[in-house]
Amino acid sequence: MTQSPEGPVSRSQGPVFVGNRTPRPESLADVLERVLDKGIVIVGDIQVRLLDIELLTIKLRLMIASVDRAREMGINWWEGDPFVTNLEEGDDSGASDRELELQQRVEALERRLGSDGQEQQLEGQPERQREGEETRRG
Amino acid sequence: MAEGHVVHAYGVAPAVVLDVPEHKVVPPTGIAGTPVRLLALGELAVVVGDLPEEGFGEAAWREHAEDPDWLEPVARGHHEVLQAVAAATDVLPLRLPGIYRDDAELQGLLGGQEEPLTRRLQFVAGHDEWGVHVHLVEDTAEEAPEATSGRDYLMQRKAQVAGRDAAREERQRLLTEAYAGLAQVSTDSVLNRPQDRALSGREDPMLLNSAHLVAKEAQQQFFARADEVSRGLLEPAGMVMEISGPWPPYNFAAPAADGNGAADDPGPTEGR
Repeated sequence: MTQSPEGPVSRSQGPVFVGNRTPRPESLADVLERVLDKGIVIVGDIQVRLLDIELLTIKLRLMIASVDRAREMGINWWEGDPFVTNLEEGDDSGASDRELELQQRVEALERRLGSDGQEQQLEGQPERQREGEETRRG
Repeated sequence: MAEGHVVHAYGVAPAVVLDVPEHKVVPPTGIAGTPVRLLALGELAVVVGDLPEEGFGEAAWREHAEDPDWLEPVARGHHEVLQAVAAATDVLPLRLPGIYRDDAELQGLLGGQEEPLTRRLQFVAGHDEWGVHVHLVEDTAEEAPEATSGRDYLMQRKAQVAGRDAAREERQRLLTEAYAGLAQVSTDSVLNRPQDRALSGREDPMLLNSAHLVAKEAQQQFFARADEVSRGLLEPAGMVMEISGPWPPYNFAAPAADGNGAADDPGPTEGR
C-alpha cells in the first residue's frame, strides 16, 4: 500500500517521502484537504470493513464547508459520533468487542431511524421534522 | 475577460512578478485547460483564470460541489497552477471556491484585504509547506497466550485492555514529542484532523496529520529532524511517518485568528 520509490516501507528507513519527490501524484485527500479550506472530508458510498466482515455500508455526503461553517449548520457528527471516532482511533485489536459494539450501535441506529419515520408521519411535517432531527442528531 | 466567463482566483503573489514575462510566472493553462494570467492589485498580483460561467460559475458550484468527479479536476487544476507559480515566486494560495463575476469585483473585494495579504505573503516568503502523516502500522501491544480457563480468560482480557490503554498513551506521548520536534525547526506548524480511512484510502489508521511551514534554508534541518523523530520515537512503536511536499503554503495562507502560532497547539490527540 505504502510505496516509496526506494522500495516498500521498511521499519528502519526513516520517513517516507511522497508527493513531489516521487512520480506518485499527491493524494486527492491531501489536495482536497488543502484546497478546500479545512474542507470536509468525504466521499460517496463508503464500505466500512472490520476484520473482513462487512458490518455497515454508510452513505456520507461530500460536504464542502469549513468546519466552522459546518458547525453553524449543525453538522458536527464527526466529533461526537463514537463510531467515527473509533474508526479514527485506529486500534483494531479487541475486534470482537468492537464488532459486538458496532452491531449494537447499528441496531440502535436502525431503531432510531425507524422511530423517526413514524414521528414524521404522525406529525405530518416530514421535511421540517427531518431537518430538525438531522441537526440534533448531528 | 470574455463575456459568459467568471474569474477564478488561484493565489496572490508580490507585484514584482508583473515586471517579468508572464509565462515565467504562470503556466499557460489552468483548470479545464483555461488560460491563466496575472491581475494587478496594488502591491500585489493576483493569479487568475477565466472560466466559462456555464460549467464553473456559481450555479455549477451549487450543482456539482458534492460530485467528486466534477470536483477532483477542479481541485487538481487549481493546485497544479499554484504548484507552478510557487516554483517561480512566493505565493499565497487562495482556497476554493474562488469565483468572481469579473476583474473589477475581484479587485474590489480583495483590494480591501491588501494589507493583511501583503503581511501574510511576507510571512510565508521563502518557505515551503511540508505535510506529515503518521500511520500506525503495527500494534506493539502483546498478544496473550491462549486461556485455559474462564478465570484465566478474564484476567487476560483485563490485562489486554490495560495494555492497549497504556500503548495508546505511550503513542500519544511519542506523537506529541515528534510533533514538537518538527515544530521546533519550522517557522509555523498546524495540526489537522487525521484523515479517516475512507479519505486516506489506507487501512493503517492515521494518528497524526500536520503541516509545517519550513524556510527553504531550513529544509535539510527539517528532514534531518523528521528522520530523527521517525527512527528514534515512532518506528520502535510501530508508527511510520510520511512526508509530502513541497506544497504551496495552503495551511499558512490565512493569518491565525488569535495571532498565535504553534506555541499554543495542544499537541496531537489519538481518539478521544
